[in-house]
Order: sequence, then C-alpha cells, then structure tokens
Amino acid sequence: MDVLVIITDMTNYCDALREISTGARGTARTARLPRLHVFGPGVALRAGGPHPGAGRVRHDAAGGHHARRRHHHPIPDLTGYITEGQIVLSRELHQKGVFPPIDVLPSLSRLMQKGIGEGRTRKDHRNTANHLYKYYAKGRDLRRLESIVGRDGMTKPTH
Amino acid sequence: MLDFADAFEREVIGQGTVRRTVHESLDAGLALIKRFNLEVKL
Repeated sequence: MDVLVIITDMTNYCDALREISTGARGTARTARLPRLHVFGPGVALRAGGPHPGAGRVRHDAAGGHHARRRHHHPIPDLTGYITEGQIVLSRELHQKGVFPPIDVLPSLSRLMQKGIGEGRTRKDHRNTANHLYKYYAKGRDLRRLESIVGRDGMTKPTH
Repeated sequence: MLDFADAFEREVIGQGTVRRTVHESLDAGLALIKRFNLEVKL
C-alpha cells in the first residue's frame, strides 16, 4: 500500500518543537529553534517511503512554509540550505488569477545551471531567463513606489 | 516596466492548465521582451 504524506506547514511543526523544547529545558524560546538541517532531510526521507530504491521526496511542501507570508522566519529560510531548489508560491498571484502562482524571484533551482543550454534545452535559455528575471525584478521593485504615488504618478518607464 | 511585470505574470508565469514546454515558455518570454522593446544581449 502506498501512503502519500503531505506536510502542509513545516513552520508550524518546527514552532511546535520549539515550544516543547523550551518547556523541557526552560531556556529562552528564541534560542530553541530546531536545527532544520539535521532533522529536515530525515523528515523528507521518511515521507519518501521505507523501501530502498522506491524513490525519495526531493521537494517537501515548500508552499506550506510561507503560508502566512513568513518569508523571514528562520525555518523556511533554513529550508533553502537542504533542498536542491525551492518553489515559492505567491498569494498575490493567486489572487490575480495567475496559475501556477509561482513567485519566480525568490524561487530557485541549484540544478538549473547544469541542466540548461545547448544540447539540453536551448542555447539562449540562460540569457533569456536572466533578462526576463532582470526586467521583472525592476517592475516588481517599481510596484512599491507605485503603491505610494499611484500609477498615474509614475514617470515613463526606464530600462 | 510596471506594464512588463503585469504582462510577464499574466503571459509567462501564468499558463493556466496548459502544459507548456520549456521552448514555448522561452518563446513567450522573448515575445514579451520584443513587444516592450527591451534589450536582449546575446
């Protein structure tokens, strides 16, 4: 029988461990965050199944980490060190009706650089992706200004 | 650039239920860059 386990929010799980740890040891709560780089892979491997060669979970529920926009919480932040990539889902994009609502700026893949280019995807892959990223990042940056002065108050776009 | 960001989200990130290939996604991105007269250094 195959069992699929989905961890909906690793952050909640880690916060719960911290509370238990704090209660047991009586130390300052900020100092008792679990060491995700130690137990995180174990959680992911257990979720992958008990049979050798049956596959591994290579990407746990990244969306759950950011469920309450806690991008700077130490747990989702540390998750980046133990994964080969992370896909960050955006509530804002979802609310705009964009599917899949992937926030490409904080998302990353450590395998991408070796998996793209001539003979793999396309010669211009890296260059095109870099330019799209750059222009989109500029646009996103300008949105913060837009939220203050409004789009009518913005001058012509600069490249 | 604000309009570019809006269009990028709508047309490149967003693909609905269609399963696009990498090539199709790159083409969509290049088309957007071209439409906004942005520069791509090769």
